[in-house]
Amino acid sequence: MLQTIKGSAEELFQQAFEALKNNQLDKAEHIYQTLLENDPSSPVLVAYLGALHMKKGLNERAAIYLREAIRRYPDLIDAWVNLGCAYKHQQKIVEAREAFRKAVELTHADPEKTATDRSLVLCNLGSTYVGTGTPSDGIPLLKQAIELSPGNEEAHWNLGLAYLELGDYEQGFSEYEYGKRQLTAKHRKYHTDGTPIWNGTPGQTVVVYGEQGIGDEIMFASLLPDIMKDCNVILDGHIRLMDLFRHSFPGLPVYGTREGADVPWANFHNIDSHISIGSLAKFYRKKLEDFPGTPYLKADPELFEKYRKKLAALGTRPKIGLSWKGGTAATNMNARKIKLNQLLPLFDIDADFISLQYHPDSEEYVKNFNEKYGKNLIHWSDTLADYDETAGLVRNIDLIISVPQSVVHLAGALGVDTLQLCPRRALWQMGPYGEEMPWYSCVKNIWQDETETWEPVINQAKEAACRILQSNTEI
Amino acid sequence: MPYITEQYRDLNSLMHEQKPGYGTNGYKHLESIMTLSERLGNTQDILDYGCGKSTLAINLGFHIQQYDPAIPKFAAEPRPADLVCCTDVLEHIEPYYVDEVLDHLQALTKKACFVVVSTVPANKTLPDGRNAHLIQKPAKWWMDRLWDRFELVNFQLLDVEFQAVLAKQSSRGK
Repeated sequence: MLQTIKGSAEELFQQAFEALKNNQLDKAEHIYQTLLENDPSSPVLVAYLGALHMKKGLNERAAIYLREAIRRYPDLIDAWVNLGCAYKHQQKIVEAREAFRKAVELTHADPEKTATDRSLVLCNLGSTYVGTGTPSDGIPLLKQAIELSPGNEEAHWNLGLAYLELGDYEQGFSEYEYGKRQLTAKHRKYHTDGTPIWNGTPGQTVVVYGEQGIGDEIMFASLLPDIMKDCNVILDGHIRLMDLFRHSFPGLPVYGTREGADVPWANFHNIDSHISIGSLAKFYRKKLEDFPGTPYLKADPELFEKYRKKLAALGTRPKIGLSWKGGTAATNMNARKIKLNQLLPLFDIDADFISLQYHPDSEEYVKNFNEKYGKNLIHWSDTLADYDETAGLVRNIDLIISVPQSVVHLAGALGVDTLQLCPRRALWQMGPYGEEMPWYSCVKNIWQDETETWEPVINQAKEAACRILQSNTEI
Repeated sequence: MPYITEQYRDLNSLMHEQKPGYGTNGYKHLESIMTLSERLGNTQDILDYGCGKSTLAINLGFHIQQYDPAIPKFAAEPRPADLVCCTDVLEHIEPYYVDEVLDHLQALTKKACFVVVSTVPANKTLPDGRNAHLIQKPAKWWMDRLWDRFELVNFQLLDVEFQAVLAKQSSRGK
């Protein structure tokens, strides 16, 4: 229950601002609404309500408030910036660009705005070209943002992503590293007095710690053999990947403490330095030729055998693994999902189909699909809840067809043939828009065309799948 | 051979699911276990008996066997191991199964067994109201039973618990 609010308009405004800052969103909304009752024509209050709804994740409603604020006062720069963000969160990239462009225009025309202000809005505009299919259009904007404010970490980060999308790994990882260091990396302490970040010096004892999602950690684990040639390595990784990495890198101490605050094992090693696993790319992946693309993970032999038998019991037809949804709201999930019934053409292939979709609601979804379309897509929930079991299953599958998600990384790292169904708005990890995914030679990309529809992609995947399965039979 | 009743296993499964801090003490004896591993020729053939939430396994750096009947992933019968670690577990077992569990530990130990047992009531209660330590007995009570099955290498009595390093019996049987 919200209390009756008291105070002058200025005090209330300050209270709302504090509440917004402290994530007390309902309280802030209540105060803004009260203030608005007394000052119904205020564009600023409406703009704050827009920002508040964006913070609540209600981006459509946020855009309504922000458009109204702009209608009342078209030069309100913050409202244009937030409107751009609200559109970007909805994947409305064209609209986001328009809003950010207007913010750039107004900021540059305002003599009171600093170079830092101009850099920030240019970065917003430049970022709309990252992960949306045209990274090269964003590069000049992001460079300009960095020129105006060399310490703009977000601009460095986005510039890094744009270069990586284009396959310029040397510049890409350098900028990515700069941005990530400031923006996302929580540097872990492996001694009470801290250890330095590894700078490439060989011969040291280095803790490499995992970061980002499970798929990213698997992908970056391809760098471990490189640093293991140069240093004594200790891995502090994700608990779900711990045993998979232990099987795959014999002799490498692997701890599953990445998510925890404590690292009691650190006392048993003389640690010289530490580095996040993604940062290794800056040292070992400067050009396309630096990517070996060869398998580097091994499934637990007992689990490999378990699933060999389990799949053999289904019969002699080839086994195709399917997954159709990847990412989170923050990582472009909307562009990385397909309805299962859109994959129906694949079921014409003479094969057994295995679901590799790990979301908790997938079992029900698959059951309904099977009933509605008379198919027999097999879904083993218990298997998919455990990464070691999943690896045992995936290693036995003849071909995987998947949208970009962690199972693609797992299959690629295990050396299993995979067709990756790529949205037009792609992530840099998929490679520079060709068929090849540099990280894994067994993964082939099939891209959406300018129509951004899945039908042509799935038809191509069907043809490619038939070719791959045919050539496997001939071998 | 049962080592736990179905009801108590389900109760523990529920505790593991619902209480993030339940079964997370395994790593606290890391140093002792590392020392024992070294003394046994740097063996990595280790079984965490009653592993709970795997905190020993995640802090050891290498693959070990884990057994816990209340956690489906680790409920399969384990293989004997050079070093069996059973820390903060025995006081939780049902009194009816003490002999079966100690026999199980004996059978699984190839070289040494490291036990840490609380001798006082727990701070936690089970959903059915019982104290989480179903057995609250002095060290002597436990050692009388362990002597029958192992040779004592090291014993340390602390305020609320005891720790013992036990070796596989050489020739004398139970």
